[in-house]
Amino acid sequence: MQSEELIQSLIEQTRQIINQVEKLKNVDLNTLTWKENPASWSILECLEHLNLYGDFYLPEIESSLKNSDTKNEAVFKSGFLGNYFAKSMLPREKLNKMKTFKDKNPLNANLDKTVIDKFLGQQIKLLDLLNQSKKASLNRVRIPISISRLIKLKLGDTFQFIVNHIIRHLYQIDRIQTEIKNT
Amino acid sequence: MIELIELSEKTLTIDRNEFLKVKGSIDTNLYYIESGSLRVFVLDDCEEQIIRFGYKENLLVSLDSFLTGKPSNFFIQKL
Repeated sequence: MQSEELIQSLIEQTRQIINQVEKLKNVDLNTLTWKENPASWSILECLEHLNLYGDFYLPEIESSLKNSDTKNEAVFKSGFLGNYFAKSMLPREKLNKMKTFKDKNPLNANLDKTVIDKFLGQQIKLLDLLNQSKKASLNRVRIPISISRLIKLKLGDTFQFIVNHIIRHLYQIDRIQTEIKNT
Repeated sequence: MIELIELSEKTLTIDRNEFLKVKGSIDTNLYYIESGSLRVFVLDDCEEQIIRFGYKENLLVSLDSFLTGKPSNFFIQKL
């Protein structure tokens, strides 16, 4: 895949993500904290879960870019593991449930609308990092994954993973909103 | 102007605060604002600098991208 094309498509997906979450600002708190059952996540908990991942990955990417002296390369080739992780995140037609790690589980945290602002702030940061990455190698810069510093993914795969993970939970938020309408 | 508007390929509707364009994207479109207003701005070191506003019946464009076909740092946001 062309690196430039990948970055452009990630920027466009991030724009759509921002626009979708921006709409949630006008939703009342009762809806944002509604949950189907005590063990499932509310809309705010979904966003907070993404914020917890952002708190890890965005600084990791920023420092890796700062410490890298790689040049941009025309072609990005997805790594075996990176491709697998990124693809596995996308929501499927038939719901593929996943387990979350304890430290990334916001269940029953006391959340308010500031979660939305934090999320949107992280997306602006993500845009910034995507733009900075136009000058770096998406193949050779590597980012450790959140559960083990020993496993590193290519920067291009990490970006795809992050964006797909966000899309996954925005899809979940859509579903929650549909459920609320049906109750 | 009317001829120009008739050439439009599609009509977009965006909500308040939504982005038509974000930093780093390539946008070679020429927009005609039917209603509402938008702002064009750049963001550096967390400071926003508004380049221009687009009001009803204005034409709006991300000028550098429009001319060069390259990515532009402009954000365009609905007000």
